[in-house]
Amino acid sequence: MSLLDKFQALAELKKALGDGGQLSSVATPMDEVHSATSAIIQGHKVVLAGTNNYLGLTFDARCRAAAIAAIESMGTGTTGSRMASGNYAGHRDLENALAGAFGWTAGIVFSTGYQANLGALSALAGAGDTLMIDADSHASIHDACRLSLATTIRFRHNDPENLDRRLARMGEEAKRALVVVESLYSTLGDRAPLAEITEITKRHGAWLIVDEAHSFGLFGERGLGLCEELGLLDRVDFIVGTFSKSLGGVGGFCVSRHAELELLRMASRPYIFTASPPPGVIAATRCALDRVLEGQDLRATLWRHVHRLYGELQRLGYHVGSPTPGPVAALVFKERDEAKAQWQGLLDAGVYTNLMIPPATPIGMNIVRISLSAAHSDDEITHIIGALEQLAQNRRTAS
Amino acid sequence: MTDTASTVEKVVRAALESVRPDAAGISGSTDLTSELGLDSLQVMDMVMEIEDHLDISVPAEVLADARTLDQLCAGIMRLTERKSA
Repeated sequence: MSLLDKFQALAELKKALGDGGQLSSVATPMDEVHSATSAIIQGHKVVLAGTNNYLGLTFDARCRAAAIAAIESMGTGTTGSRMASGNYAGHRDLENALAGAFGWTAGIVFSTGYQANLGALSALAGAGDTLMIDADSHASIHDACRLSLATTIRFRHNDPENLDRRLARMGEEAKRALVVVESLYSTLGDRAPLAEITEITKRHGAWLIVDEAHSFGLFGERGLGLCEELGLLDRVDFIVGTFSKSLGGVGGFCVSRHAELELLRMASRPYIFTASPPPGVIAATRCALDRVLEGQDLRATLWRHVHRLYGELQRLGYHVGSPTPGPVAALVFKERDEAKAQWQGLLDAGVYTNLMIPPATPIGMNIVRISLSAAHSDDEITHIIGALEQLAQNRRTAS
Repeated sequence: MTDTASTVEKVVRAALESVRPDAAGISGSTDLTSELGLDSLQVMDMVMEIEDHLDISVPAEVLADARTLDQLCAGIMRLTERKSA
């Protein structure tokens, strides 16, 4: 077997998902993007219902103006690490604003959301420590475990009792364990039982880090996430998040009530050995953060759309990954071809969504993922629901 | 084979069969991924069955070192010995 033979299976999968003359359902190229909810794909206008642009801030006028002004005054990139020539006042200002929003003292900005998990987890937990992670964690968490020298133990997805047993087995050593959960899991759109997980973690003397990547901006009075909404901020140790979803940029962060987080700058390889985020991104994100904190209007619009869509999905008989309405609606299909036909049918009707199949999803769960935005108009939501209704009717007729 | 080793092998085989019923009676030298075709989620489900039966936690590093059924049993054995030490 030669070096490249192992890619043959991927080549076959790529072909099955659409290759050559057929539009690929993976990495679908967007020729033009006109707004937070509208783009051109293969010459056709589509409603974007498969992004993470939950508040629609990629096209916010103030954020765009801030980015342009920062580029004009400070250039397009930093060309250096935060530990070298890439440490600008804007980075520090954003870190202080993020930590301050939580009422905490320490905050660190990373160049991507992926690196936020990679950088925070791999540095917080070292040799002799334990990373206790939910089994359905995002790839960035699994990769952080591989980079860390800590022992990695997984507990059953969203199962507090299973976590309790694993921490109990550790005894006194649980004080060196960092429990890692996501508040909202983006594949199925289900939420972690955060109150129970927090209680169990603290009862065993362990530490808790919550990834609010898909909930920051959407939950809580100030949009800080599910921990804020559930009143848990005084018990959680660390929160990580991303700029590339509700904040409409790219980058990530970790904030904490523990001042020692600051020292990660000297220990976290994904923080040190990469270029810092460029001025335009930082300026737009800083502006977007203010918009999130004062964004009750955006959240109200988004949740109105969410409840409308979930109600219609139930009426139309779709199997949805999570019964609790949220910004992500995962339509679950047993067969890959069935899911692909649904994805293609939606695209043909002018609705762009995401197709997710094993091994990115559990076996037997082929998913068409719909995500909504506060920037969607009522007419666009009507259009999405109309396309879903037509496809549901077609399926009933065919069967 | 010691009593503990026998128990561990029984538990591991039972856990394997719970995720892959067609794997009953496979050789201990069978590669669990390249030969049997277990995917990462099946491996995880199998390991969680083992953990619950033996009341141990299996670190991900132990799994990374175990390609075959025999290697997995050996890794689990070391964990049970450490627990009872």
